[in-house]
Amino acid sequence: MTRKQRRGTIIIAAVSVLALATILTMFALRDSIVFFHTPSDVAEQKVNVGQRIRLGGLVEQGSVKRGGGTSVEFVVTDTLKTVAVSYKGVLPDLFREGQGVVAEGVLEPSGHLLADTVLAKHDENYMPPEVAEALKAKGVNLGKSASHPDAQASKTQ
Amino acid sequence: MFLKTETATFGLFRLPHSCHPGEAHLFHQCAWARGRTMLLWIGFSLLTIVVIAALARPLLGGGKEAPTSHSADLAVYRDQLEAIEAEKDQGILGHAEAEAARAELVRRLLRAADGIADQSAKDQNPADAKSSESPSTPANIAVYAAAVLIPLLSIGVYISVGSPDLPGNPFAERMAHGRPGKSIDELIGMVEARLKEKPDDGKGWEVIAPVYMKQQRFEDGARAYANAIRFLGETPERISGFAEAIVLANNGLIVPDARKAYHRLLQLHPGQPEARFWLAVAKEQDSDIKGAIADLEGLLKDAPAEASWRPLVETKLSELRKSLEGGPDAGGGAPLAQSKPTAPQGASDGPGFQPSKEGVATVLQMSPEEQRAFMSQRIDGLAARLEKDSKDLEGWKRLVRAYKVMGRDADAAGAMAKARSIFVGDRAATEALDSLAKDLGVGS
Amino acid sequence: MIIEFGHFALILAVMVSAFQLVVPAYGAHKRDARLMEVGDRAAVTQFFLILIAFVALVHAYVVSDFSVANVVANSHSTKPLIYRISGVWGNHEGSMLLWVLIVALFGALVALFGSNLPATLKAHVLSVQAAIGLAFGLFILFTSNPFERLDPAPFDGRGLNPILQDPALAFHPPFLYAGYVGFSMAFSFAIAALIEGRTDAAWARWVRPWTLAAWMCLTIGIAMGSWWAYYELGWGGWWFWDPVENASFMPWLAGTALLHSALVMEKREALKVWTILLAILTFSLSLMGAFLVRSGVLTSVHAFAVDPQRGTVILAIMLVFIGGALALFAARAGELRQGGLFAPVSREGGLVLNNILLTVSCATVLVGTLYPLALEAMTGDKISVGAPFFNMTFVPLMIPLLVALPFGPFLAWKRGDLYGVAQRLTFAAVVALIVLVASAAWVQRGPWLAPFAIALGVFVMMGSVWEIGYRVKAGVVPWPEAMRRLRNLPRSVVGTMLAHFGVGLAVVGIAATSAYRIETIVAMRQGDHVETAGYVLTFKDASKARGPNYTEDLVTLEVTRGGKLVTTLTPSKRLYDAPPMPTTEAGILASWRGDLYTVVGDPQKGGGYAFRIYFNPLVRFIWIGALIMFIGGGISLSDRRLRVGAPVRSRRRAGAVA
Repeated sequence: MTRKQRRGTIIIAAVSVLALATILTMFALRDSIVFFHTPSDVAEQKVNVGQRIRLGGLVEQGSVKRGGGTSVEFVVTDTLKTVAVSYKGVLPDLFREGQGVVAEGVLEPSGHLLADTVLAKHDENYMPPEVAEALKAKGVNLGKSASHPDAQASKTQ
Repeated sequence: MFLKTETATFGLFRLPHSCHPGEAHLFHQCAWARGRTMLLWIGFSLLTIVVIAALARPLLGGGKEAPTSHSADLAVYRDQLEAIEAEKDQGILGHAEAEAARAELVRRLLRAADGIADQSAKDQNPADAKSSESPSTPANIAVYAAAVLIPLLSIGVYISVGSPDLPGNPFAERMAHGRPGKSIDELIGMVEARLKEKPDDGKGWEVIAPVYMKQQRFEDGARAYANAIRFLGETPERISGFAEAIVLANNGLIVPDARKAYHRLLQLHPGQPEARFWLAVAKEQDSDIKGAIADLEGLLKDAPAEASWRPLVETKLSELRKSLEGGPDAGGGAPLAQSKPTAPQGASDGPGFQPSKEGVATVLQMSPEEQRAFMSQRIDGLAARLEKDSKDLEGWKRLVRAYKVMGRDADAAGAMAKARSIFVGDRAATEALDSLAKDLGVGS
Repeated sequence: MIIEFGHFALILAVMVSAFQLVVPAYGAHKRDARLMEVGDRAAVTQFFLILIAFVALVHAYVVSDFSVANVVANSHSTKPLIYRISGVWGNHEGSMLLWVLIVALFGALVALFGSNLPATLKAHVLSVQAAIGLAFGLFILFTSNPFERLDPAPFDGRGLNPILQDPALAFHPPFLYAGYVGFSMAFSFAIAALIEGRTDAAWARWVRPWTLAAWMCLTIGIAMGSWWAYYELGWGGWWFWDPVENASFMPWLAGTALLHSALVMEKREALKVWTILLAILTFSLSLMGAFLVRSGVLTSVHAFAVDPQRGTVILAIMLVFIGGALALFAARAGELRQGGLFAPVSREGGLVLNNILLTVSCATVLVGTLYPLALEAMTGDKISVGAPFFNMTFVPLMIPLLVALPFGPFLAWKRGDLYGVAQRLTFAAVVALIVLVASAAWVQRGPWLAPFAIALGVFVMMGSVWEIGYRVKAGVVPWPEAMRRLRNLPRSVVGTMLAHFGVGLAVVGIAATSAYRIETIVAMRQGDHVETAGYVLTFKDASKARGPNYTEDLVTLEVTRGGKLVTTLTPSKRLYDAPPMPTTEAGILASWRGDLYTVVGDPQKGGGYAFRIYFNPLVRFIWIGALIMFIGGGISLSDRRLRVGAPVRSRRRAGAVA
């Protein structure tokens, strides 16, 4: 086998694997990514019923209702619009009323979200950045630690 | 992760740490500190000398022969040959394969050997030979660079970023012997240590709570206020302190506990303006803009005409109204959305403590704690100015009123007395002061 | 005072690295042995200086010197000693110091143990390594200085994020960095080779031990991180395709490819250009990982809280190094001599396939990690790319890789006999087939693909075992003879086999736990019980307890199996003192057949708690597999042949050729 043929074989193998990977990636990007939305987006009907989304916002004060067993319902708000969320499972440690949350699930025809995953802000200084940004855009003041711990530095005595 | 914050926070507390000529009683400490700094610099010098010596040694001595690249190659190829033999012996490599591999290796070996021949031919050429006995010029330059540039640059950088005169401050040592001139943090630490032993000491919690707030340790502040309430009972100050603390701890959100606290405050003190204001803001955060407006309007109606917080409420109100008109999507309708400006510094240059137009907007963005701090700053600035320019009657009136509003009654009385003494003989002024004193109930 | 001494040592180290950047390279250019020798001195000096700085910082943490801003921000006087020490690298500034310490350590190792290297190559390598050290040293001094002081000192620190107070995490970053930074050696060697315009089999042999060491550290570092996430986060999973995890996984994939292509280069002098490129790309991916984690572009459990200015500086460093390296590569790659020939079916061919699959799969991970960032920058849409994406792209590429894996080591160099190899692998294939049928019949649930994946893992494991058997002629020659042969096997062969065996084991664990995990969410009151995976869990008791720096709600679950008491698990919810933060501690019963993983959730109305109970079958195999890979790498590294080339070595056969 000549040098050229050898090189040809390698190139064919590489190109075919790359092509396969590209096709897989395209399909995966079409089917298995999840968009992030705020309650206002949902209200403006930017989200189709049955679509899987990540909904971000604050847990509305006083909205958490625990049902029987481990099911729980709460309302996510961006202070302008709200979306009701139902979830069955164990809430994260840092899930609290008035705090940032991301719920992932499917939008029901009734306009409420059937969540299978709920993420809370991870520590005292962390709010899911999408949430912080989206809320900022909607005009909610998050104060010192909205998206950035250093924001605290702007406070003075 | 808090580095920035820390520096910002503690930067303000940063005091000149070394020696003040006036502080004679600290002289001993000063001498000690100077000795320590000296020691440190001696250490730096030794370290630098060792480093330079280590770097310069090969340059000063005669050069030694490093293996040329090709003899190193030869070693590798010989070893590979050995490996092939071993694999052949073990029967892992077939005879033909081993032969082919060996032929390839021998070719590499020969190439490397040729390289060596070339190299030694080159090395015999005097123009290329660099391993002469006397240090060559580049080596000299390198030595000078090491000896001069490294210490100079290092010290330069160190002076700009280091803190040579700051002693280390290990925790255990600090606990063992408290030194004079305790910092606020050390004082906090002592109170904390006592509270750890006697957690039901309500007075201790009461004392430490506002200190925490000043340190921006809002969660600790909330806990301290809560404990003070638990052990000493409710007072409006404690409740409002608690509410403030948890609001600040929650990024400015009026969380349920804060709401409860403000409601309680209203029960104890119907009409208490602070509570009413923040409950209105809470409504706004619940998207109940109309409710918030109604509450604020009510608050304004009940407000005394000269109430210092009137402008705050008015501005907030107008912004809320605008946001209601502009609809939820108008960016301008977001009262709290603007980035939070920093509180103005250098308060003493202001004309008085009455906030300017921008000042109002600024103050409105602040938490009550910040507002209060901001006000105090303004007032102190005004007081300082009046020390110099004492003939400003309006200024004095404002100062007295301000002290009163801030609850600093003794200061109000003091300022009133001072004003009276300054304007003694000026009838109009005395009358004005008298009527103000009557209005405010300040030391007659 | 000690801390200031450390600070000064760090500054000196930066200056020394500048010296080390310039002088040896100039010496190599002028062929001046003395100037080149300075490189060795500088590398060792630089390492000791950074070590002084690092020890000074550790000292400040150990004695809780709260006049150091970094200690205040990340430590607390009540923290246990081990976490005070690990707190040093649990934050951005300290971990950067560890990073440059490891950069300098690798440089010093080359200086000390690289006596077999040609002087000019070594000088160039040390120069490039110094450039990396210099860039990050300046970055530390001017944007992330851990020696910043506070005056007056606050009374106590702010504490370390409690989820980071964990033994696995204490040692995860040092290994991870040793891996990331270790690839800087491959990078430095590649740049040095390009500068000198010489790449040959010997170069590949010199670069391989460094790459192998880095790969080992990265393997174990990633495994520790995954193990930590598994038992600490309380989510029951072991890998989340989190961008920060990906940031460490991409260099691992590229590094694995590099390890294999360097082998081809060493043995056959083929794939030279590719190997050099791969060395550059691997370290570039490491740098990109550092950038992603520290720039604030990503937020993740593992990411540091960051500041955009630092991100910009790291981005600049990254672009300079990657851009410069690729430019040099483009200019010089054409001059490299062609290497040996080989047929598509051959050991080389197999390794090329390995490289293609590994790099392409690395590319899919890269796309999955960066696509959300790119999309947001372009359209403003925010998306999350999670496990489904990677299952669709990465996993299918791994299947051919695993199928081909056992064939590779059996194939002869240059021209292999696929049919012969297939015959030799019959036994492994039969075992795999039996496992396939057995697992399909036994579990009868889960995705149909799962038994195949498990069988594939078994195939890889058996293939590795079988290769050793073949090499020692087990069963062909008498037993003692086979043992003698085993002892005489080159360690690199044993290491390779172990590493491949570890891969197979991990694959079995991954497939089993992904497909057959049982998740139960249940609310229980005291006395209630629940049944899962053959275990009966009874909620016995709930109590409050006080740890050294936390309080916790402790729940006692009694676990029985077939009526017999197995153990009691105590999952808990903790609240740490400083910073006050709740965490979940899982109660885990580990066994060979799988882990029983219990998490206690919210208290329920009317008493009791919610529980999440997982049964993760064979999940331990994943980390044991990684550990075996690590050990395999270590055995391979100890092979005399990798250290070879020291001209002083006595040789039996030297006369045969020379």
